[in-house]
Amino acid sequence: MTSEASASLIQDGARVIFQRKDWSKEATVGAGKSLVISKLKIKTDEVIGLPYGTLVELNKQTGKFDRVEAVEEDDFADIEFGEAGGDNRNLVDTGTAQGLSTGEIAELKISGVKGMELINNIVQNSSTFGDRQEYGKEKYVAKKKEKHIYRFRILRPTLRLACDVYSSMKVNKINHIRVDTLAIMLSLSNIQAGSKVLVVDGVQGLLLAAAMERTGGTGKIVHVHPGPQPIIPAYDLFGFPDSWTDTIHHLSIDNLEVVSSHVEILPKGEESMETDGASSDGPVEPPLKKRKLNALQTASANYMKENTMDALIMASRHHPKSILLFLLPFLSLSKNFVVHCAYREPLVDTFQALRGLGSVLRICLNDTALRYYQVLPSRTHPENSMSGSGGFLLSGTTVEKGAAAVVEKEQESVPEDGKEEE
Amino acid sequence: MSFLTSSNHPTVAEGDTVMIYIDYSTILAAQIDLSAKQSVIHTKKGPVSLKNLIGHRYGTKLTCKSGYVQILQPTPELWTKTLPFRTQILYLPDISMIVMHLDLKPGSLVGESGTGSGSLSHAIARTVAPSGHLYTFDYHDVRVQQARKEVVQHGLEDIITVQLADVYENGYGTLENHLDAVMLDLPMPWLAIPHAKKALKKGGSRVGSFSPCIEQVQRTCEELKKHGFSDLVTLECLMRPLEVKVMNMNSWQPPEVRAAGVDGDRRPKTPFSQISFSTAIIPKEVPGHSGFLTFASLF
Repeated sequence: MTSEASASLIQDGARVIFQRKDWSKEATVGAGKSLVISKLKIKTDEVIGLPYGTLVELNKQTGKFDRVEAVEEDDFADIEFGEAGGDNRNLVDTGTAQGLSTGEIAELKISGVKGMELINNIVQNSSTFGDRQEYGKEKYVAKKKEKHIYRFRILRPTLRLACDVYSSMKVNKINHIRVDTLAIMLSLSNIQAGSKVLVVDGVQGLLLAAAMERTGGTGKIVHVHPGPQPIIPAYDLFGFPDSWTDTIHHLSIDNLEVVSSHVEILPKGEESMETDGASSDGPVEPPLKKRKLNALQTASANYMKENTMDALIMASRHHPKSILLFLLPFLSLSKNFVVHCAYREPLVDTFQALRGLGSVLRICLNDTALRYYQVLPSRTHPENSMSGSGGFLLSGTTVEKGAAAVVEKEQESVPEDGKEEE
Repeated sequence: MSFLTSSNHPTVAEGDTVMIYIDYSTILAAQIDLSAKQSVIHTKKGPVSLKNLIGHRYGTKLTCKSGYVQILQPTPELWTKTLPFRTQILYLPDISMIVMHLDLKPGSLVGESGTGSGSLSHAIARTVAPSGHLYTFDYHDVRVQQARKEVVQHGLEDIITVQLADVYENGYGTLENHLDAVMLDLPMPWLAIPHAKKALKKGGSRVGSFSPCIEQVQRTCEELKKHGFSDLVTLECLMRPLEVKVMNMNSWQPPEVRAAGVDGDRRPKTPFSQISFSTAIIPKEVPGHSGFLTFASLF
C-alpha cells in the first residue's frame, strides 16, 4: 500500500505536465530545475511530494506555485449567466467600460487577490457586462481568465497530454500532427505490445514516444531520424525507463541506404578498399558498396537487415514517397503502414506510386476533422475556433507481389444455398 | 489465435480468424474451424474453401473461379469492417480517440459498457494486452453469449471478460477502486456515472462517454460534474476518405498564344488545350456525424 501511495506522489526528477485549460507545458521536477511561464522563471522543486493531479496556481507576487484546494472548475458563483439570447442594444464601445485601470488590476494581483476573485472583481467593475448577450458574457469571462489566471494541474505525461503540449504552441515542430491524427495512426498501424515498429520521425520524437507507449518497452523500435543525432524532446518528456529506451535502434536518415543488401557496413576506423560511393553509377548490377559507420548505427542497420517489421509509421519533413518505397520491403506481409504529411500533394504522389506497385493493398488517403464543444446548460455550442487541419494520412497493407501463387482447388459444385456474399 | 501480434504466425492455421479481401469495398472474416459446418465461403470472386487456406502465408493471393482474393491477418480495424452487426457500432476515428483519450496502454485496466457488437472491445484489448484487462458489460444475453464466443475465437480470453449485467442498476459488479478507465456507450450514460466512479481508481483515472445526441451529452456532463469529475472535454471526430485521381481540364488559350502556334508550324484547331493533374477529391457524401465523445478525469 505504501509503495502504491508513494507512486501517486510527484518524485524528485519526475517528468510532469503542467496542464492549463488551453495550453500545457512539460517540465522536470527537481532542485535547480525550473520552468518559464509568462516570462517568470519558476522553480519546480517545491511540487515534489504533491500528489499527481494537484491543482496549483502561479502567484505572481512570490513567483511560486500556490496549492489550490479542490474547487469547482468553473465556479463563477457571483457571475450571472442567463439563458442564451440576450440583448445588446445598449452596448456602445467608449473604451471606458472597465472601471479598473491596468495599474489597479496589477495592484490587486500584488496584494494577493487571485483566481476567481480577481476575475469577479474585473467583471463587477465592467459597467457593460450586464448589457452583453450571454454569449458575449461568456467570451468576456473566458478572455479575462486566460489573461489573468495561471492555474495548472500537475499530471503524469501521456500521449494525449504530449499532444496538448505541442498543439498549444509548437504545432509546427510536429508538422501539425493533431491528437486525432496520431490516434488514428496508432490504430491503423496496429502497434501493440511486442510489435517491431519502424518509425520515421521528423517530429521531435512524438511518433517514437507513441510507439514506445503502445509497445510498453516490450517491442523493438527502429527509429529513422533526420540529422546525425536523434533530437527527440517529445520522447524525452515522457521519462520512459532506460530499459525501455534500450529497445530503440536509432538510424540516421543520412545512413538509410546502408540497410540495403547492396551495402556492406564497415566499422569506423578500419581501412577500407573502396571509399563511399566511389563506384555508385555505371554498371546495371549495383556493386557492393562499403560504408563506414559507428557502432550504434551499425547495430541499427544490422537489425534492419536481419529482421522484418510489424508496422511502419512515418511523419517527417522529407517527401514521403522515396523513403516509403525504400522501407516497405522491410515490413512483413499483411502488415500496415501509415504516413502523415501536413500537405496532401506529396501523399497523392505517393498514393499513385503505391498503386502501381502491386505489393500494397487497401491504400487509403484520409483527412480528419476535430471539433471541441462547450457544454453548459442552455449554452452548448462548438468552440469558437477549431484546428484547420491535422494533416493527411496515407495508409495501406503489405501483400505478396505478383501472380496468384495458390490455386483454389475446390472447384466442385456450389452447395445449394450458395448465395453471393455482399 | 491471431488478433495479437505476439501470437501471430506467418501462415494460416486451424483456429485462426482470417480476413479475406475480395475487393476495395468487400472484406470478409472467416474462422478456420474444420469441425464447423460452413467450410466454403461464397464470394463474388467464386467459392473459397477454408481448409485450403491452411498453411498459406498471410498476404498471399488465392486464385478463385473468377479472379483472386487475398488473405490478411486479422486486426481490430478489419474486424470493425467485417463483424456481424448486433448493434450500432463505433468506427475507427471514434475508437482511436477513445483509446487515446482514456490514456490506454499495455497494462491498463478498463471497464466498458455496453459491449454491443464488440467493435471497440477489440481495439481496447489490442492496446492493453498482455498485462491489462478489459471488463466489458452488456445487459443483453444473446449479445453477451456471442461476444464471449468471439473473444475465445480471437484468442483474447486472457484479456477480455464479458459479463452479463445491467450497469444502470448494478454497476460494475465487484470492481471497486480498480479501473484506470471506463467507457460508456449507453443510451443513458448518466445513470452509469455513479457506478463508474465507484469502479475507478482515484488519482487521475479517466472516463469516456459516446452519445449521438447533444441532449445526452448535456445530461452526462451535468452528472459528471455533480460526481466530482473534472477536466471535461466534449469533442467530435470525423474522417473523410479522399479519392486520388488524375483529372483533366480544358484550358483556354488566349489568341496570342494560339497565333504563335504549337511547335511553330500550325495553329491549333480549337482554342483549348488539355491540362491533366493528380488530385485528391473529396467525395460527394462524407460522414457528417457519428456521435459526441465526452471525456473527464477523476482525481
